[in-house]
Amino acid sequence: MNAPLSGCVILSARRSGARVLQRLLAPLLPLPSAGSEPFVWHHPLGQVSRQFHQADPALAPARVLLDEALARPVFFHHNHDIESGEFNLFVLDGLVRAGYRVLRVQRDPAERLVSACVAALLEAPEAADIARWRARLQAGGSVPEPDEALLRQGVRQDLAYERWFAEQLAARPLPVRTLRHEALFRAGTAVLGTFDQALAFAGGGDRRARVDDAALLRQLLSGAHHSAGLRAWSPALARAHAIIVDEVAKHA
Amino acid sequence: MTLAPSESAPMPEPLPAPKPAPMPIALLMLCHEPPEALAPVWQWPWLSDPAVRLYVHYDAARSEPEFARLRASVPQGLPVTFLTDRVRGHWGGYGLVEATQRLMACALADPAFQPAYLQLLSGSCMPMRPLAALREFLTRRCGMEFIQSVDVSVEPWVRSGLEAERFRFWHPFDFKRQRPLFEAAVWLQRKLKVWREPPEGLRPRLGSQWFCITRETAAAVLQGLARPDWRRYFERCWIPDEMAIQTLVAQACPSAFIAGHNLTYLEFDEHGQPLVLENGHGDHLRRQPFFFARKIAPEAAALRAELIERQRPHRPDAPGEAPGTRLDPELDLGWFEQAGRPTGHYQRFLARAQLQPQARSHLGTSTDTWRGLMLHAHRPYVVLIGSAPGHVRAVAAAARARLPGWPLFDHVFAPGALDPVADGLPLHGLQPTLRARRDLDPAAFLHELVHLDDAQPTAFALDPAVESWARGFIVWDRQALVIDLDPPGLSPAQRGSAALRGMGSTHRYEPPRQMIAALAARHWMPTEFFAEALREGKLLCTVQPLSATPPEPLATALAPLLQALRDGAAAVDAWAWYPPEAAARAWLDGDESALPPLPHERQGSAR
Repeated sequence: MNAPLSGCVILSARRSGARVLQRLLAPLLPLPSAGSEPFVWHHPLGQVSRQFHQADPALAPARVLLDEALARPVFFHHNHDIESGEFNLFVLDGLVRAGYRVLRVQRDPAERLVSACVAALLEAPEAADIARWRARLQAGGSVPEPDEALLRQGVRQDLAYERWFAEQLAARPLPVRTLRHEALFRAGTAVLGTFDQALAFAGGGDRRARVDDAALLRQLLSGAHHSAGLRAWSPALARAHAIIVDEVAKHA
Repeated sequence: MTLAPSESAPMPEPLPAPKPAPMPIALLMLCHEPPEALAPVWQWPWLSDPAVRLYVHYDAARSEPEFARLRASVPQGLPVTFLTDRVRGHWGGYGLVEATQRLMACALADPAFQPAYLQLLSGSCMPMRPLAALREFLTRRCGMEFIQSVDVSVEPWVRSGLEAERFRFWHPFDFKRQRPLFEAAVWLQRKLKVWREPPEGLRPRLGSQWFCITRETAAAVLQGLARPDWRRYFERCWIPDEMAIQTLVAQACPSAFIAGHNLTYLEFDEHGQPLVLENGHGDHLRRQPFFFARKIAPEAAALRAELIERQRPHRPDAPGEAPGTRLDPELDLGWFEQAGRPTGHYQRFLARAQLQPQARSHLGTSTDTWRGLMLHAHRPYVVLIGSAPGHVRAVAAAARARLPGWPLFDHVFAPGALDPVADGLPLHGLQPTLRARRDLDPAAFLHELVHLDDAQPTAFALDPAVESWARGFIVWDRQALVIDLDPPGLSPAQRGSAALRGMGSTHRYEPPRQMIAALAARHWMPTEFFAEALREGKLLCTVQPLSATPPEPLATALAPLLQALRDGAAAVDAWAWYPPEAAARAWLDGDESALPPLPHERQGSAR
């Protein structure tokens, strides 16, 4: 008799492209999908986070909820950088107890932070927002000047948090496979091999039987938001970019 | 992909990824233009990148001295390699495939350079974005083949004319030089229901000649072209440059890896006429999600300069700005999603041009923004043409003497110079300094020219042998009355010798070779551009000899001018420019003493 399939989670920081991976892997896995960012309060597992942050100090209800959610193996994607360190440790321990596999998606920190900065400053998380902002900036619209001190502090905090999270993840007996954003979105057709290995790690079967190369390539080679490209149209965003690159170089 | 060392040792990777070396790219150029016309290529900023090399195949139709001149024109240190083993590439023949094959082999065999991608260009192509943008694009799609490769049994590719017949029939005759035989062979094979099978394992594909393919696929294509049976098959197909490499790429690559488009912007109308890019097309090109533009008009110097600026990775810093703060719009990669798909502007233009069917084959200068300000011009004007530019100028000068103040000019559209009145003072404010404006926006210049005087219609000389925006426009402009000043009854030898002797005064690019070839082949000469258009019915302007009366209301408006031109022509000794038949033939055969000096030579003038 086959061993029961364990669950699988994608862990990433925002603007890493992990959501695309989650969207493409989900229909190919023999696991129910709990979607992306399920711990956001209005999402399927939002009760776990709500209980964690609002309920009693013993966290018993939250732990029960988490263990119940993970007991039925599922596939989901968690952006760890939008949650507190305590909650992330709580989730990591839950993953260990339930025997999950972890797909970690990472991206060059400077590029990720520029993208995150643009998306946050302009409140433009979606492709349509980016297109709207491009038109606005091309027509002479402006963006407020970045607060350099605040920006540098944000970069330092993000890098420190990422480092801390990496240490915590490494300290736990979780099977981890790391994928780089660059290997997914800047490697051309080599992404097919990358994707198939990720699929195999996550417990998927023969991908070609369900999705052919052309369809997968179309999905993977298009649809990027290019939010960082907006810096071409705004001196303020270009300066923000320069500050981020400089600060990352100091602390990487 | 980067994987963790093993599943049991799940250490996350260090965050920063090493910066890869820049992707090497080989540019393969097929060209046949005069060496002077290729000079702008050496100014491409792309060529200053150490990971870019240009391999040039110069058509064997060009002479060895021209080839030597071309090689000598390349500044030292540029990464340009010339193929010395040249072939002649006829349109529709196998020579173009052969030349491309040699270029690919040369690029792949270069021990000092291992290109990741090979991009095929022509002498009229130009990069129109920074190299960094192309690299980023290719990095994201590394391994994709950017080539059209269409299975015509599944979807059509040719808009009109032969399609599957290109490879199902045998094509031993040249389409251009042996047209009747070509047509007869096609007719006969169609009658006999000939069905030529491709060699075992080949499935023919069609597509545009231009491509950007990976090194690995290029190597596979070369292997295919080296097979004698496959080569023999392609040699007897029609237009194999739109088939051989496209077929072999499909043979070597999974279809998922073939993008189905190339990276070169080019458009055709339904008659297969290509869009020729003029100086005014810069903004149109800016909107096109491609990396290369084709085909740029030889006289579009301003457009070339603009595209060279766009190739620069960063614009020069403006005064007062800190270095590097000028923004490069190409950082915005959002348009990559549309790469390879032209915007609808040009097709919409063509659809509107259906309203004026005669004009639709003349691309770029019909009724639309494509013809710039001339869209709004409804004033008639006169264009003086003739085989001997010196004779045309002499008639114009004689007419000017009879009609002082009339806006009557010499060759105002001569490339490289603007000399409105060769023998006098500036007229109506038209001066040589306006040349830059003329070259930047010839439509606006012509608009200004024909509106110089409220009452008197403008007249100017035009050398019909010289390719220019004006020549292309005038032939499709109903407002233009083209008057041929050649004396009646001249033989081709007389007109040819007159034209050849006059060249140099109004030509920057010398077309004498074309003239001589046309004379030898009894083909129409470049000076007969308007006459040929008239014969083919491909024109909207009116073309007539000086003695004819133009239709009303032109006849009334132009009566004084036509009279002055007739009087001027009568006063000028035309035979000083047009030699007798026997002398012309002797001169064309190489007897320099057969003809007396031209009038300006006798006077010792520069003209």
